[in-house]
Amino acid sequence: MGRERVKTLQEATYDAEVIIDGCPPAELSHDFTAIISRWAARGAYRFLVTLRGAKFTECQDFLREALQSFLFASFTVREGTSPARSELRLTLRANGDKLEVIE
Amino acid sequence: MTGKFDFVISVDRTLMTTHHDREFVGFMTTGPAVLLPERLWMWLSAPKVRKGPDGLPMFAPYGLRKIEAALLDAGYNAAIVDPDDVPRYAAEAKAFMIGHHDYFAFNPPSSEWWLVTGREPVNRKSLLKFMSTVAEVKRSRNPGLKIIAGGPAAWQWLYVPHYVEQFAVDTIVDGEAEKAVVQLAKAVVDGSELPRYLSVAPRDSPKLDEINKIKGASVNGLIEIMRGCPRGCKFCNVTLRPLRYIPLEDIEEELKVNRAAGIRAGILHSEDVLLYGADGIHPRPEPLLKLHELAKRYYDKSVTWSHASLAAVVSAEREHGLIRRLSELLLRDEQSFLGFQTGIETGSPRLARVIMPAKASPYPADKWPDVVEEAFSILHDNHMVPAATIILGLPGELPEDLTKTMELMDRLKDYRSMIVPMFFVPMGVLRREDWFRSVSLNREHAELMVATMRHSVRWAKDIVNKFYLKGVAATPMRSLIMYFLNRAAKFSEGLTPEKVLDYIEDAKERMSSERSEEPVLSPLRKRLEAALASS
Repeated sequence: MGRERVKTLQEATYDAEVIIDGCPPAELSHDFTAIISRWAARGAYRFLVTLRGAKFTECQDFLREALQSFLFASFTVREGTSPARSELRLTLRANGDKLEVIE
Repeated sequence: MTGKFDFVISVDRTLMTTHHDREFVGFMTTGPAVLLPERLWMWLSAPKVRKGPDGLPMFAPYGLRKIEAALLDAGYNAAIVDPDDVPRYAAEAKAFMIGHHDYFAFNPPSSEWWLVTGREPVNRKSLLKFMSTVAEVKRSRNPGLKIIAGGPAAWQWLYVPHYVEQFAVDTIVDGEAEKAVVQLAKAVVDGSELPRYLSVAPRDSPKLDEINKIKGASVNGLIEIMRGCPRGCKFCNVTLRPLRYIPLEDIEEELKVNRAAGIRAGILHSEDVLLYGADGIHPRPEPLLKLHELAKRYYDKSVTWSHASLAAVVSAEREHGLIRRLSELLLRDEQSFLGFQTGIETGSPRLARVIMPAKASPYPADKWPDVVEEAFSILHDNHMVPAATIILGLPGELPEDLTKTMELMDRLKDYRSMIVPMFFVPMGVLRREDWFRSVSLNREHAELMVATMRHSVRWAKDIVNKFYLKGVAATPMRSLIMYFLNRAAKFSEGLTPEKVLDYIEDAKERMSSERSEEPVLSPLRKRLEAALASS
């Protein structure tokens, strides 16, 4: 950790990227925070969150719950497809009562 | 009149104002108009700000000045404009930027006034109207305009997605934004995609040499002297940020900017002014005296503080006689008193240990009520006036905690001060539209509310008459405020805890039928709840 793993948006650097496929319900935010916590424990704190197939305003309940649990982290949330290629990247999608890693 | 700007920065009238050069009057914008017509209330609390020869406001909120400075230093064409002029400037701009400390009146004291009166505060109404105007400019005249919202209350946008849509907000920036705003400006100019949300982690906060110095004058001469706070209270996010003392030479540069604009009275801003240059939580005379001597050289009329902690007051006075020395240094010529905000929060040592274990430091939390009383006594003797908050309804709060707070109120009755109650609203209920119904007040809470109201009205009259609004020029405003205070005093005399409880229930009904949005409170409350749960 500490190397530049993802480069996007105006030379901003990120430690890891999470792609969220669709818009999970707010109740699944704890699955998201569990993943972020594992990365945070390894020193990551700058996260790129890409919303795929959903608008930011549609996902605000989920994002609010997910992001505000990490007051020590930087989050950049964007809509669309990921322009980055990163070693630390996961794609998540809601499946029933779980947030599953699909890529 | 100046031409166009690529980056137009502004905010609604309740913040783009000098409040008649009296910062404390700004608190009126956090409530609805009471006993007076709304137009008069707005004139009293938020008059239009003077413009310079360039047509731009001569004074603007300090946070906006920092953003303006960051953009100017990075070479961008940016300016703060008056809210009335936003349609004209935004129609030709690349981006519109706004910062606010309470966009939707979700923070105290706005949320308290809203709950107690059942009516939307004027700051919220003003902001909604202003944002509608900006969004209309974007839709009808400048579809390429990017709208970027930031400031200490940026988090509130996450609770109102329909307003993000309705006001066509492109990006929300949460955290210290000096560096982030330059990145965003580059993206705007390059035509790159903007993120929808950007939070700045405390470790990405600007270092001292990355904090830009303001280029234009700030509202009421407010100047930041440090960022961060070492006390670690569970309900405050400032404690998460790194502690940085702004060097005196940088402070002096900003003092010069304000003085050049004719400002002779100003506010030193910090979460705890007495900890400027401190040794941990022990105030040190040298940096504090140098700071105040410097400030007084430029602000010869008056130097006041934004916030200071009561423990630091006691520590500074006991260890160095520093409150008396600062009082002698500052309170001369035209300045007869110094007012600032502070937190009591509770009179219960048990609760203090849980939610704010270091608030009393260097004294033990068990001694918190004694620290508060001693601080009030020191301040009273030195013509310094604290405006203090107490928090009602904390999770795990016991009747005996409220009894302790009531006992403390009794001990404080002879000290010149304002004391205001705030309600704790758990995060879990905030998404519910009828969240306010879960604000359950008991008789002890109501007793405290009556006690704080009587205390504050009594001392407010004393402060307005003797210190705050002296002189012939202040007569119209003093008359109006005294009229309001006399009505409030009469009202509070007949107030009983039972009447308070009835009144709150009525207000809840009015909120239920009249409000358009549910107030919520800071995510930091999650931390507080967690701390209380584990205690």
